[in-house]
Amino acid sequence: MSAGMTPKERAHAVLDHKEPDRIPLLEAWASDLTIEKILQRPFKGINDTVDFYKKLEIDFACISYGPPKDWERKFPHEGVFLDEWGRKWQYVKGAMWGGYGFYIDGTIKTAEQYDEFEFPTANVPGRMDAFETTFKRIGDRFAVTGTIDEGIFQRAALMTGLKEFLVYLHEAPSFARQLLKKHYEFAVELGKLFIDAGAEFILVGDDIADNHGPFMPPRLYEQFVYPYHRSLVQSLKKRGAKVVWDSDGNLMPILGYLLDMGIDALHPIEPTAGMDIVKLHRDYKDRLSVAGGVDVVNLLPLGSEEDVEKAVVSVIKEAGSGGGLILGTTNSIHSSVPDLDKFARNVLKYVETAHRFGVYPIR
Amino acid sequence: MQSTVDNALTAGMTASQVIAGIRKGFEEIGRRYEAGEYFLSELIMSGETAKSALETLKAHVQMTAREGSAKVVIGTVEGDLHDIGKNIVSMILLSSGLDVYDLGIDVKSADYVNEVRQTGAQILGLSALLTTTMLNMGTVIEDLKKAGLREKIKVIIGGQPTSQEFARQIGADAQVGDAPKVLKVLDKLMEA
Repeated sequence: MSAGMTPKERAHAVLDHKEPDRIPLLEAWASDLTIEKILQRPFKGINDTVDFYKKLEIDFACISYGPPKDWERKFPHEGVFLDEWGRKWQYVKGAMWGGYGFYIDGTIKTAEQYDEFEFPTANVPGRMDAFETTFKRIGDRFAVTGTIDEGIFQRAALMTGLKEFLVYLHEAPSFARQLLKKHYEFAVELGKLFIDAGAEFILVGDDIADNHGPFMPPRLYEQFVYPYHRSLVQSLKKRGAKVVWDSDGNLMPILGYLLDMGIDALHPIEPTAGMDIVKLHRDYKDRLSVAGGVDVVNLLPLGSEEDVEKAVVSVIKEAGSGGGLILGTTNSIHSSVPDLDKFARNVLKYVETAHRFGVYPIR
Repeated sequence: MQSTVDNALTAGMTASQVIAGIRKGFEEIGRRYEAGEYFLSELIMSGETAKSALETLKAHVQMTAREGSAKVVIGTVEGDLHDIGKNIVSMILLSSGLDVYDLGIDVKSADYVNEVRQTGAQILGLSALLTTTMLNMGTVIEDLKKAGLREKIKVIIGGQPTSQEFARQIGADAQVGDAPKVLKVLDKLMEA
């Protein structure tokens, strides 16, 4: 490959299982606080996120959907806020994920509450503002990636509370299915909006596992969730988009299903959950690209710049050849770290190392 | 579940025998979970099943504090409102015949100390999901020391961000990684 591909060309090449000019980078999300450190100026909004992606040349620049115009989060009491779906989040000062909180509980506990609940709709003014701004600025060169956060399972489970939803899967299967279907429809609609706004790449984030494994046995995944996952992927691909699938946790017990539903790449391959990017690349590189490899739990918050360089070079050497590798943090560029300055320096080191040593041909 | 418990009691089993049976069930579920044969939803369902068995049992037998059964005070530390893991642990302990005093979520250090003093508990369970709030576990241990209670109680911590190393740093007696492991950890601790 000749040098000088645009980030978008690089993104297409890697998902087409070809070697690009260098290994592309993907970040699913970056915290305002870390962006401030890296740009060295106060964060004011989406244009700063775009500048951040540009400065670091993150090829897959992931941008999520926003709330409707004029919508504001409610604070029922101090330290707790409700989101657009009425779900409760804990607001922790100084430890926020870019203006987000930590989930506490859902809104819907019974079938009656479901019937009465007015679900947000995808196609409303404001939803695509951030994406459109980004696409207008860098969409010609970058793989501006429409991000469907909380996919299908995650959003359905957060509507009721994870524990409750898992009980419904066993004891009230039709109610569980009703919730999944509702959120499947929302995700399909979001996908349409992104693609209509120019997205050639979609990242679907649907956390369905913890470090131990999927939240449910594979047979229940197959029965309840998989049909909607598969159908969402097909609807995105039918519209011409390439699909990066994202879930935290140990996905190995359901990997076969993820491969079968036709995704182009898997992210973020969490090593702390026992996921091994080198092994996945070796075993599946002809059908699946892998995205991740830069540990954001220990390495980037706590390691030295030397450790970071060593780790990034090691992933490049072990999983870089033949294409199919996208480098990225193993979750996101968050800000829940003890020392944000150190973290920001390490993020810059990872990006610089990836750009320098990720040039093809590798080995 | 109700009929299983009814049948057991009709057949002449005592409440403690039923509870011993539930504990055995939890041990097997814990084994399967660790082996990767069981998943979180099954863990939660087993907790729900045990809960309904205990309720049935209570309806039949006068459940009073059993002679010699250990007392546990448990709760999610101050500033933290998460309780899925804590509730599973609480249910496992309750179903295994321990007297559990569950203080819920966002529990102030002073409230743990008071409860420990009042109940004379031998075990204290502290839970946290956030890296920021888990630091409050150390405060509770310091306050137990100040109240002269630290030597009388074993402190077990748990929750996603905690580790054996963190338990050592703050002077806890043990850390539980996965909820089902709590019985094993407890047995080891009480033997020591």
